[in-house]
Amino acid sequence: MSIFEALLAGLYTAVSLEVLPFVVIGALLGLVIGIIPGLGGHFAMAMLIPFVFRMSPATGIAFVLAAHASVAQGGGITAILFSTPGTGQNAATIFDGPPMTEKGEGGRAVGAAMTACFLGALFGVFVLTLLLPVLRQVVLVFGPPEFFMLAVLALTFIAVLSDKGININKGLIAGFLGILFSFVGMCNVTGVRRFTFGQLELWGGLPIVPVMLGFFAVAEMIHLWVEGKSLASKASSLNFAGLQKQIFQGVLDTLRRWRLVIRCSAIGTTIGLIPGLGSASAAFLAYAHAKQSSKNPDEFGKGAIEGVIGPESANDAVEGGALAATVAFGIPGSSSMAILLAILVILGVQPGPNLMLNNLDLVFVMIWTVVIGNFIGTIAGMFVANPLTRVTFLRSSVLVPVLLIIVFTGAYVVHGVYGEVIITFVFGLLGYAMKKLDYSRPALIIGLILGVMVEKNYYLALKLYGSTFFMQPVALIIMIITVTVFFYNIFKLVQSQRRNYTRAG
Amino acid sequence: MRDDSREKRRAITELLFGIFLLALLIVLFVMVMTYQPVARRAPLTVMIPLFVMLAAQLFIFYRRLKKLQSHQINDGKTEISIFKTRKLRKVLVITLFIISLMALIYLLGHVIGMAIFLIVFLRLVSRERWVLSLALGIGVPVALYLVFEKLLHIMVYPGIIHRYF
Repeated sequence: MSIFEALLAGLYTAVSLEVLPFVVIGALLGLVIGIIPGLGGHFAMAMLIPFVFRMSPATGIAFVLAAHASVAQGGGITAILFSTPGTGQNAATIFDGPPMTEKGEGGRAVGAAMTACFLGALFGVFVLTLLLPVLRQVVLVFGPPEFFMLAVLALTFIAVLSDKGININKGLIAGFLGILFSFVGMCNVTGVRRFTFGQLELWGGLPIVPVMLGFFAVAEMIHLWVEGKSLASKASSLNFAGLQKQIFQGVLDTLRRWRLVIRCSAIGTTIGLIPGLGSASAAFLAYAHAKQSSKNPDEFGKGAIEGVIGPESANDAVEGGALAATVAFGIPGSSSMAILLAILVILGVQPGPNLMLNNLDLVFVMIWTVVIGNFIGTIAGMFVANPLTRVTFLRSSVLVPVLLIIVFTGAYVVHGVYGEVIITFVFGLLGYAMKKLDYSRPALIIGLILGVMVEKNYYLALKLYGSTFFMQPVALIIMIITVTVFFYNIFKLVQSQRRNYTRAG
Repeated sequence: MRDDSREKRRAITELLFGIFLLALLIVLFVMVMTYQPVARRAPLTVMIPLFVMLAAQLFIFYRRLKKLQSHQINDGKTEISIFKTRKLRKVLVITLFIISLMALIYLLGHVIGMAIFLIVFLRLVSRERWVLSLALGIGVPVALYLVFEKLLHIMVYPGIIHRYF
């Protein structure tokens, strides 16, 4: 199937009566989840996993991706109107969004943010579409040594370049722990049952859905319960009159600044290609660039509209880049992509070269879903911002128990095994502990997903090329990049610690 | 002094979590040595550096704790126990409630277990009004039952009680 044929087939499927309603529902759900502070894109995807089991691959993928695509729009609304970012990727919008609201221009900021999000997502998937013909050729060059080294590179990047970047050792511990957990179950080389503790349920390995639900959903619920009594505290003092009129002004403001949108979207897409950096990093980088390139940099922090447009374009453009690595190589660069990978496997779709070569139409279903999901999220966000914001009034004391029972129901229905409910709980506690103690959860999940692939390719590489398999040209280049990035970050860390020590002395 | 106490609590929590991970690693190491050589190759390749990193991390936490203890001004009062913090109490409360939810589901099944959990939690813990507690306590489980069993044809757990009826 040629690229053009796949593009048309993907569009036809994405707008079909079977798929489109789920795209709409997914986008609206994602918007609502994004508005609720503390719940992000990975939570939205994890929560929807139990519902995709009986869906066809196209429908299931579209449902989940549409939810993920519109989360940032919801997060942008709360960031601007309540100074509370709905998701981590909207954190950079806090600098100029709330000041605009205080100046009475909240609607303008919302309109600008929604439009920037949509245009950023369009840019990201456009780049992904351009990359597809190249990636299709590149994946043919990749064999077991290359896939092994690529997985090592992804894990290193995730551990070293995590959102907080605080502690490389903790990031690596999390990544290695994830790989170790992936060895639970039958060894795919020898058939030996490893780490099953005599439990039949673990013969097939740790079930990924309960682990995801526990790690992201239960952990977030515990966090929400412990930290939050009110999700938004400023709502009652805001006047929403005139919001709608200003929104359209914001749309025009973004369209007039199309060059800034393109530049910040390019930043976002590039960041998305690199595992571990995340959309929050893209948003902050884009904000810094918007300020640097502005004619009025002093206005930033006081309600400059470019300070909203820049980060919002970037954080949605990340999707295109992130999807490229995930679908082409089966290497997820973030928690959300790891969940997407798990969903693909659940739906019977093998990510990686097989997807690129034999199911390209499914890739385009993903691309069109991101476009349509973002579009629906943008329109809904603009027209129903006012009533949607009432969701933030929900008390965590009501939200937490309700979401918990949905999560535990979801954990059970995966395989109809009660033991998986216990696994969800255990990983919920582990996920919360890791969140509080700054261990990288994305690194663990990605280690868990990649571990099987790492072992299989390691074994094959050893069999085919012997212990010097990493000397294969492409594998060697990837290894050099991995080692360079790793030691460069160690060097930076040592330097910064020396600087702090000198200052303290 | 309040900051020092918070730092110390954090250091203790980090240390405890690190010890837990190390203990888990030791258990898994003992298990892996019983497997055949090819089956244990990959786990050992991961475990050995993981062990080194965990040991290094524990050493860092221990040193930080020692440093904080040497800075702490001893005014004769009892040190603040990590178990007396409000947040940790909240974590313990929610954990106990989740365990009770799991027990209720196991015994009574999803629908009844969830309903009881929600009504009790919303009324007693969240201190919501009876109307809201009952509305959510009945509405949400019924909605989930309809979505999963009727719409998606996926059975929810019927509970041990199902055997007796």
